[in-house]
Amino acid sequence: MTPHKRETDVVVIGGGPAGLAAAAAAAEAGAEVMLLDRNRELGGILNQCIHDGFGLHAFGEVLTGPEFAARYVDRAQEAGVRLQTETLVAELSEDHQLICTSPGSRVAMRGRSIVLAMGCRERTRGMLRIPGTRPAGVYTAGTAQWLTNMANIRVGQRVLILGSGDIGLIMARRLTWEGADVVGVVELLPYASGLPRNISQCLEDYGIPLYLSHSATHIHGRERVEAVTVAEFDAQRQPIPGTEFDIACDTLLLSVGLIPENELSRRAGVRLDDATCGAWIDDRYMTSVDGVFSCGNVLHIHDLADWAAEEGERAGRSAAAHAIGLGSPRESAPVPVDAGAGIRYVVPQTVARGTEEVLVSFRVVEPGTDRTAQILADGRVLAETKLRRAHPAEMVQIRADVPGGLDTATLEVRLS
Amino acid sequence: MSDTVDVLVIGAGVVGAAIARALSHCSGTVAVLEKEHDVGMGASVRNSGVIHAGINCLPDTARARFCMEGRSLLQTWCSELNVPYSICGKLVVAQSQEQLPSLERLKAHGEANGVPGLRIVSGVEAATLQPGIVCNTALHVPTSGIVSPYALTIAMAEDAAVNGVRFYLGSEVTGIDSTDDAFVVTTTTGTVRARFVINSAGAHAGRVAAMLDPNAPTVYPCLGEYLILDRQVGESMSMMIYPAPRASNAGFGVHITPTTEGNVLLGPSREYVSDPEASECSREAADELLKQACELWPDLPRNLIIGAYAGVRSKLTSPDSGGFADFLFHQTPDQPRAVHLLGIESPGLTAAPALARHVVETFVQPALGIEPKPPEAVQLRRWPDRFEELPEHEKTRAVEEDPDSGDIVCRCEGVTKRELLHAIDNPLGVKTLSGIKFRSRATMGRCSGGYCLPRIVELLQERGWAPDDFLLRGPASPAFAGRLLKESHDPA
Repeated sequence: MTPHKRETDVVVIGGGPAGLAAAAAAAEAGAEVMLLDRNRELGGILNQCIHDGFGLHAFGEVLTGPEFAARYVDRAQEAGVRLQTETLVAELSEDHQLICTSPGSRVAMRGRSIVLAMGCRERTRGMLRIPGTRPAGVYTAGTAQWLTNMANIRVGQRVLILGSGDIGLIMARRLTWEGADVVGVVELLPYASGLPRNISQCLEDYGIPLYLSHSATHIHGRERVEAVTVAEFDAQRQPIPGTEFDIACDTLLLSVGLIPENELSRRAGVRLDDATCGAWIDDRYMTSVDGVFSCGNVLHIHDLADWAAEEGERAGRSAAAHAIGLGSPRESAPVPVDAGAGIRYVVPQTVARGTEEVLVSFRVVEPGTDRTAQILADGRVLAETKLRRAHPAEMVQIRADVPGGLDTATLEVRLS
Repeated sequence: MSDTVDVLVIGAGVVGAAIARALSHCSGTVAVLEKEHDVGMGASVRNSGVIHAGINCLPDTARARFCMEGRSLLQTWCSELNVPYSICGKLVVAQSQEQLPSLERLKAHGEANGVPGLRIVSGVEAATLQPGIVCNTALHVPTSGIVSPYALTIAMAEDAAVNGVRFYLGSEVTGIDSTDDAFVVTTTTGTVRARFVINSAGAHAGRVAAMLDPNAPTVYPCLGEYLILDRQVGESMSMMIYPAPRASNAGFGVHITPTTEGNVLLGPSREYVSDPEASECSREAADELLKQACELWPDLPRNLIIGAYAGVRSKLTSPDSGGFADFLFHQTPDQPRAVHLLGIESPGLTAAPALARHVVETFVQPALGIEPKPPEAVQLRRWPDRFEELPEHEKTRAVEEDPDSGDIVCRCEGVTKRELLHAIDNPLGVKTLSGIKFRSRATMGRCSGGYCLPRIVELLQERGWAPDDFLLRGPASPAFAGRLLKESHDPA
């Protein structure tokens, strides 16, 4: 029995901020669009982000996660996007065939363009290889956020947070509000991984200690977490003997990084970038597979949902243009964009020759003050931006206008 | 709890579960005591999951005999129970000519034990059998295989349960009294009278044996730690890779083993410990595992480690002597109706069905006069088919027949709501998150439940579970700490 076949202009996989914005923008550009999401509700992780701080850039307003998502759901609906929830894309092939599974149906479909917007997952204890026992009470911060905000479940009473990623910081405040005793946040690096505003609003305002250059070296408790041994770590990220101390707690939350969820992309033959763990894309957000686009956290981890949505809009417009025959063919020798001194990664990885506007997103390697980020074309500065405070937690964008069109061998982003 | 049975099995690891299944095919009443809140919670779920070929057992030992008999019976039972296994083969690799004698010794032992197809191959041929490995010479063992050890243990126990065996989980034996016609076994939850007692308590078997025989041998726990690699790595593994053993009576050391689910295991480490419950992982052991595994497979992707676990071997050899002792069926003349299975370490998983058959036929049946049940009186509970493993056309049909088959709850492992419900409604009445994990594989994948734990919680809340009902392994390991809001609506 072969599943029924459907074909549409653009299929967007994932209904978080990037996917919703991509679908809306593609439909507004005249494409027939279907958006597939595995959850019952659209919005992705935004639905469990009941705190505010969303929408400042996109709407000039302060919104909660669900409010922010609702804006894009409404917009996608108005633009005529077919929104299909409870649908998991099980297979994606290089020629844009999808197999989708939902309760009661399993269908094959094809999109002339595909937009990958599957988001990311959290790094786990297993990946960190934290030694010790394997008791109840170890959760990733995002799972704890779902349990707290969506299921009305108390994850624990005395909580230690490993990693100073934004979700962990948000949860430190959230659990404090719910009466839990948040005993500290432990960060391996000498600086926080989350946004400075979250350090101030979620930790400092509540007197929650932040242990920089520290990490967990052992988890104790056979059945439920009883304590975590924490030690100071040196610059080579090795524990310094003699600095260990135990923190009594019944819960350990992990906020130690996010990983773009590219299993489906891999199966479709999409080339991935080791630095971002996301797709290798050109300046139209097209991956190495013709007609397959990528945006949002599946492309690279964003600091703000606003930027993920904005990226989605641009990818959605490109996907629509490709699907309805308005996109230009892929260039055989585009201009590579290199991450130069002080830059961890740059997206996109290539830019089309002749383009009149270059927009790059990147992150810096380490914190600094009064730095200048530059885009150089064959060594000549195309554009630069002053960073009063450069921080790896923040994604930076630079735009360069290239009157007459880009015609250089290389582009490089660097920090000076 | 209070029960009277013909046969009592103490310990529901893979050996106890196999014995329970063998007994369930006979007349007579059977109970199983297990101190944990599920079966197979010790070494049975914390091992390499290997079906041994029989090359590393000294000829004319019980280990060799039950390995050879067991590997055949295990495959029969796996087929009956629908438990995943694969005879994928193994390469034992020598890094230099100096290690060649140890390969030849294994080959000779294997041939003496009746292992077919053993062949010493060049490093070049080894690299064609398993791309990526670098070695001088290798012993190819085509009859080695892999099995899901937790699926096997649970499937045997559940099959025994539907055939009338009574499982008392969370019941730890605290004492055994011997009367003229029966043993009175006291536990933390009540008392069982039994005419025959089988001790298959694994790492605790020595302690349980000592309740009847103060001179019973000591069982030494020896911790082994493993690392689990992403299924992405398994795509490029076709067979197991073992290093040549260093000494004549030594174990293999760290090997690289694909699993039936497509993951890859590195391990085990080896450390005698005092605690039979030990399960702690250490940084040192993990680093050593990686170092040794990289000697076998230089391009091993270290960034694809998704988890770790540790379990204890039950050894009769002390830390001072090391090596292997033979499997022991310990009895005393004054208690012919008690048998203690001691030192059932590797290849215990492979041997389990054969050990069970032997115990029932040699010890229990003659003593009690119980008979095999007629075939029509035996039911079969099969391990469920995994949706993910179905051929494409059957997937579509399965989804149309049952909408729950189209509801993918765990995307890393492709577990459907139907599979999850099957795991929740198990015949042993196990109600732990760990029990759901081992029965369905949900939460076992690369995201460790980041995606599916919320879905499992949602599903169980819809079925009336309160936060306090969520336990990781039992009442001592609550997953949560109640509700946030006292006045909140409780679905129950």
